Amino acid sequence: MIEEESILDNMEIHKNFAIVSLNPKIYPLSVIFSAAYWLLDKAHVIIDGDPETEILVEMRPRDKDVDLKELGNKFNDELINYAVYTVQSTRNKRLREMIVENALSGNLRTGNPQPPRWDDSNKQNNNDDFCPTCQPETVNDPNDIAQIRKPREKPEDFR
Amino acid sequence: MPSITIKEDKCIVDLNKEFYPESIIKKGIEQFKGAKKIELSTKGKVFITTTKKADLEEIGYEFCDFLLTLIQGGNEV
Repeated sequence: MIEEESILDNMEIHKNFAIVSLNPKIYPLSVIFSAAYWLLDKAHVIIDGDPETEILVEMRPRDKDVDLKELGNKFNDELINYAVYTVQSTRNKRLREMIVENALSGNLRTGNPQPPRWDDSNKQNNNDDFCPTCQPETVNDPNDIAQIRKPREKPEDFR
Repeated sequence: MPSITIKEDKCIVDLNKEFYPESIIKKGIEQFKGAKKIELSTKGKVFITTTKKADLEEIGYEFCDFLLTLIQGGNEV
């Protein structure tokens, strides 16, 4: 029979190993495996339990001086880390696909290449219609918000 | 819970099939280099023997870690 030293939150601390209990509805198995993989250089890890109700992660530190509670807490932190990463990467999936599609389609463009912005004498070509520095800036500002104002100094100026 | 037991100079690794599929265990047995002899029983237990004066339990845990590496190799988040 295994003697249990203490139970803290979702952790059981034994003499030379700890067991972290996880809810698979909160942490998907892929996240648990990722966090367990991260832990491998610090501890031996065995995953057990029921994938539907409760997943148990047993960790035995490679170094005897490691604090088991701290190790368990680090594992819990890493679970959140990977869970957030998974959620974010799922949210950004379409955006990443679009960026890759756009980058790849750039290589398939046909037609003449754009003229160089700089000529041989190192002067900027003004024949580029899309060059923002070559065109006078026009701003639609009917209320004259962009006007240069005198700095306010007296209290009356602020009214 | 104990997944690793030592009996008669043999390390017996009994893992949960829900998390460690048989295909991964077989692949692990083929590729694991830390033991002299390693075989899978009909009940799905892994028997590890070694001639060296090595810590059998440690080898068992190393084997489990190796399986986790194989699982994660095809499932990176």
